[in-house]
Amino acid sequence: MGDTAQISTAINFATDTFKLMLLTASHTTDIDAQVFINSVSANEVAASGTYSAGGVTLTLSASTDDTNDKGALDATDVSFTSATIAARYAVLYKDTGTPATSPIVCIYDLGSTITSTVGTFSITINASGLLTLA
Amino acid sequence: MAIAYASHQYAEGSAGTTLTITKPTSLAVGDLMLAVLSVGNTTAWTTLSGWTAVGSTVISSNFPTRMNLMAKIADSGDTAASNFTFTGGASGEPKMGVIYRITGNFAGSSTPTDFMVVDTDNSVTPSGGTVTFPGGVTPLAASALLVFAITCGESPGADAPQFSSHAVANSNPTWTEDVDEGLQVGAFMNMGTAHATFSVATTTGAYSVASGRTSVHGGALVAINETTNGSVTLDVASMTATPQAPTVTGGATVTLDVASVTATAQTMTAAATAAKWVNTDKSSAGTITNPDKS
Repeated sequence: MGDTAQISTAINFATDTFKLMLLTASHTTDIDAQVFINSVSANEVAASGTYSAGGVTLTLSASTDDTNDKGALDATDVSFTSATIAARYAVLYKDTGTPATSPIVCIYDLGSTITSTVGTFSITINASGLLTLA
Repeated sequence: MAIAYASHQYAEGSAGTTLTITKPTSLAVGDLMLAVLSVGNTTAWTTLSGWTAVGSTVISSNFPTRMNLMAKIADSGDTAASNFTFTGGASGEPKMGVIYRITGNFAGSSTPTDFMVVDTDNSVTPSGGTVTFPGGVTPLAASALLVFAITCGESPGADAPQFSSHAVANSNPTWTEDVDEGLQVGAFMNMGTAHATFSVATTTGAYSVASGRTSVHGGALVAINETTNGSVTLDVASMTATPQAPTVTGGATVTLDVASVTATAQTMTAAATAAKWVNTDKSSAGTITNPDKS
């Protein structure tokens, strides 16, 4: 997922801006072709309520697990109110301000299409964090 | 609670410039009220205070008819009221109206238009006894409640049901007709409404109805969804970096380190030997020497 971008593009989890974008079920993941966010944004859910195009900026934090030699990237939970959304995927990406140069970090499959209708769409970050690095 | 049709109240009249409709039975705070009002005139109905205009149709030629749709989420003032009085048209003109009571969760929205999708069409002429309104609606989500409203003017006529076979082009649900009325007061006007539950969240396509009238018709199709929340917990993703063994390929230059050997100096040991006198040639006349000079 954005594998070459992660090598060729500097990503600093401490200082860069990261966003979470929601995609519809029309999206099909292709780890070879989908490097930057513009390669998947055609299937972004429509702006609705407090969800705006491009997704939401995450508030990140990092932690280390010396026992298991892992690092974890965490984020605060996010929600969108008064939103009509039908989302199947969530994409974590570094926002450079230009979609064509904003590398995808990973794509989460929500398992099924999650919907809200003029309601609150809530995303809870896993208790183990957003991403572990080992 | 799933969105559902609960009840409706119909009224008709021609006196004055108002139409009073009795409050739908069992109206509760939080219920959605949808009013469909027709008048044999092109003068618009005035949107009642606290209500939201959600659509209108105008037939301005031949037999002028106007239909307005308004909605409101019921509050305590509404449940305490006994009726609602709408203003529109002129005295002596036919006026017809219906208020739907729709139950469901509508919390979190600031206006009924947040969860409604409305399509209206003016002046559609029947073809082969069927009026087909182009367009249609795409509900916000599956299981929407559809309300189909039709109006037309024609004179003379009889106060008899005129409408049947309500349908949408795609995934046509089972319709229940609620209103099919005519009123002749000078001009003649018909109004009909029906409702259905639409199971999918895709476009209805055109909507149609069989009509016994031949004049132009105005139509409206409303898709109403209740508000729902969605929630999901993300799985944790993982990234693992695996060190790779370096590979020396042809043409690479490898510089060997110089090897070194270190010798440790040993201390020389001198063994002292007692001096001995030796007759080296063993002869009796030989010389006796001291070979180690000691």
